[in-house]
Amino acid sequence: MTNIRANSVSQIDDGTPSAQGSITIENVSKSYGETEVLSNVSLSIGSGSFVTLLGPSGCGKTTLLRLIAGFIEPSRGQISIDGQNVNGIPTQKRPIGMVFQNLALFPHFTVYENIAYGLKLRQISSKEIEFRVGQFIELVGLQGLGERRIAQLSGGQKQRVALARSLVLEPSILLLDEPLSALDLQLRKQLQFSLKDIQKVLKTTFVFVTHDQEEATLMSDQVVVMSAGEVQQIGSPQSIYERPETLFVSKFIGEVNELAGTVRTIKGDMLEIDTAIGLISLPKSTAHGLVAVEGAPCVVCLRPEKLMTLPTGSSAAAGRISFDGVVEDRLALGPMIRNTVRCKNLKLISLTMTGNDANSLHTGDHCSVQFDAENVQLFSPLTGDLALAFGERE
Amino acid sequence: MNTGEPFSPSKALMILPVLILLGLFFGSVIYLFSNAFTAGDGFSMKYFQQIIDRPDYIVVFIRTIIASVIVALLAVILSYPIALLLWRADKWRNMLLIIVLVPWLVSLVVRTYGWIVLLGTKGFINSMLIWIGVIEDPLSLMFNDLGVIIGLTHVLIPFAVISILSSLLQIENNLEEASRVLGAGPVQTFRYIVLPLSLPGAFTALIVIYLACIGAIVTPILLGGLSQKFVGSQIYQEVMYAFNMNKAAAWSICLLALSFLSLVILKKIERRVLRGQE
Amino acid sequence: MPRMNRSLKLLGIILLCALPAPIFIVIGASFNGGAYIQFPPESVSLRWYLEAFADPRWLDAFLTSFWMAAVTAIITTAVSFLTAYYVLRYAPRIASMLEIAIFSPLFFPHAAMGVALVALIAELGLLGRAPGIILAHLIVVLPFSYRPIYISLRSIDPDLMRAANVLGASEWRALKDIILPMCRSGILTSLLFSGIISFDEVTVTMFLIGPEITTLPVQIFTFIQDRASPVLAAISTISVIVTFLAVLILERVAGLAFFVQRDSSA
Repeated sequence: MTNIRANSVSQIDDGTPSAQGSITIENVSKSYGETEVLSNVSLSIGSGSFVTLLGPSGCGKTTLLRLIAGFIEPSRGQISIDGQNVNGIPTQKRPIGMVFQNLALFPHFTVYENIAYGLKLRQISSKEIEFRVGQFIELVGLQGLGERRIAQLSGGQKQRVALARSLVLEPSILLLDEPLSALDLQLRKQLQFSLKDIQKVLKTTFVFVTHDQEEATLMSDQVVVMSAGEVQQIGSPQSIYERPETLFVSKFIGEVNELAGTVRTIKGDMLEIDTAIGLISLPKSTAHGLVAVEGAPCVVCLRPEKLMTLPTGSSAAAGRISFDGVVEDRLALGPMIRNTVRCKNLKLISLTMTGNDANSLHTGDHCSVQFDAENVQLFSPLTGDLALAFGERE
Repeated sequence: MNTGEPFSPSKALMILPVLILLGLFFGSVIYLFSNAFTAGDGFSMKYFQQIIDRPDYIVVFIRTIIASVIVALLAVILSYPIALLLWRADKWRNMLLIIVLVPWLVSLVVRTYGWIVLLGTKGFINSMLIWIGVIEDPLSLMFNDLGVIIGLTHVLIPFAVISILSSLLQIENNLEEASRVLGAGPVQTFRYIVLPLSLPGAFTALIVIYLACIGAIVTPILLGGLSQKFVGSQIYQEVMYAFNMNKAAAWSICLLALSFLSLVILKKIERRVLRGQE
Repeated sequence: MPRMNRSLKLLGIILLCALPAPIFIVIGASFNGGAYIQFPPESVSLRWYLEAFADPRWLDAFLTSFWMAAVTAIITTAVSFLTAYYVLRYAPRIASMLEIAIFSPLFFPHAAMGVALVALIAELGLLGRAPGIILAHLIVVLPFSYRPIYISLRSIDPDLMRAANVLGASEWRALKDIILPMCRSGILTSLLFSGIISFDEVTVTMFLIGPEITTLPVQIFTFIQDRASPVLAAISTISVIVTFLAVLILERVAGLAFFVQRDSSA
């Protein structure tokens, strides 16, 4: 699967460029009895994009996927595929494919029969079936394994069968429900790239569900961060990382230093925040969803790589905020060094490139901690997700 | 638990009881053979000759085989809707399972007695039909092959339900959903996915039920009477009325041979049908 | 989970209800006041129950069946436990062979088994005596007792036993403190399941009874052949109640999952 030959795919795509595959979700809610697992979700997925639904377990991402698949119907709201309302349309009549978390391969069929099943249901001539299955077996790199039983395959091979089985029907949308979660790290990495490559070639809309933010960042054009049945933020992996709109997103995507504080004064465009490490002045533009009132509680967030640890006495550039600290621990992570710095009573994490200034620091040294005000994210603690307080519920 | 500790002779005493029981069982089988093949003091095929020479005995065998095949097929087919019902009934499954298990475990004589009460000349069905006025003279529902087939089928359905249900419960959660995503409607999903995957259980049921039928005694005697003999009732008569243990043993050997042969054939069919599964 | 086709569901419900129907007919008939079973029932009365209790033969047969079922259940469960424990811990290689031997009576036609056992038990001088019947029952119920115990023992992580040993427990202590409690549902299933089968066994037992001893099902069988008096319905109802209670207890203490659990090795 790693070496896809574009020409073999262009034959398959022959004449029917998949311009379809857009999904619109409007105010969709889903409840089971009293519990609402999805509330008022609106989302639009463009044709041919790779979209990831990301969130901790129980956030509703799988429910949303199953709604699109038609296994369940929304309690309220509407789902449209290619502009057509699909509410009430049974799964088998929707232009979708799906790769399940447990893969759901048919154990009594061979690899070939699994891939051919959907084509047979469509009463395509056996010659045509043979041709198309052959192409997709090659596309996913399972040459020579067509007659194998599912039980005789390795984890990665099963994955490829599941993918080929869905793709051979040329759905305009492919739903993937954490399909890589059962694999070991190395295989997982390998398949992440393969999936991305295949998606680029086939231009099928991929809707991928995962709880792994790294996987989401790596693969998607668009990430939909979900929590407690609501969409928290939609955006490119980069924008979600750099400009999180809620405290939840900020904490869920990547590592973050968190400082609890209070708004002390508001001076024009600047806010003065009282935190455990001291007074910080921030431009109002850093505040997301925070009603800046004097005395309001807030959370100051800062990515570790935006936090510089420098030897004491290093002069701070203009506009840079600086505090004194002590290096408590240094961990070499290859290209990066992870410093744990104590500022007053708080532990902060900073990541610096190996070979930078901070390299000269040692555990126990006094240091200067510096950051640019524009790199700070300021949130109201109230918009934070309670779920996160208990850690990721896996 | 499988620790594979080294062999220890003193610990081997733990399997002594089971070896004694199995020894007694296999000993009894050897006894059966020696009884069947001995007349007077030496080896003899006399009793087998007596069986083979009687055309009415051959009829008994054929009747037993045909009835058993019918019962086995009927029981498996009728069990499918029940097994599917239990499979789908997530929350209620345990309660429904009791409805299946209790008739299975209630004594064979009691269940057969129930059918006598139902099917007898003065039984429930006849009395009711006469009372309603549908018939004037009672129908003969019992003391014929029909009665035996009804009785045996009813007696053995619970086993088939349990066997098929256990196969159904082994089907992985998402297979049906996967089939639907690939474009199959409910009927096609049943035909191509659910049915083939439940066949191992259905075959187990078919084989066990068939074997139980050809060796059945109680139901054929009570519902078939002594005129419509099955192999089981013939053996019973040989032991209880004729006191001819040797001939009963010869009958038993024939029955054993029949079940062994049937088992081989059924296993062959099973392998062909389930070819490649697992 | 997808919904079931409505007509198929209805058929399933009808067939399911048909399973216990003959039993309900028997129960209904036992309260019939008339001399023979009829429809519509003549009157409601308990006379057949009174008649059954008045006849000491029925009480004797019931008690015999009951205590023999208890003895059979206890012995066979102990035998199965020892066997399964030994095989899994010390001789996993003979497991499948022994299993085939233990399950072989299941594929042995009952009629032939009756004839075989009657010859053996007569030879042992136990014909028409309780030990002979119990011995036959032990052979008949062994597979039903071995399976639940083997399955529940096998599911215990072998490292638990090793961990107990490392912590200083002797084999006996580890068995008592770790294995037995974890195997509880298997043992209870074995006890009740084999007890029920022994209590209700008739095909093999009827060859082994004698003038001194008979079991409840065999007594019912003999009486049906003689004349189908409604007293049989009363007796049958009592037998159904015993079985039903045993199944209920089984459901309470160990659950019924065992019955629909498929074991690849069996």
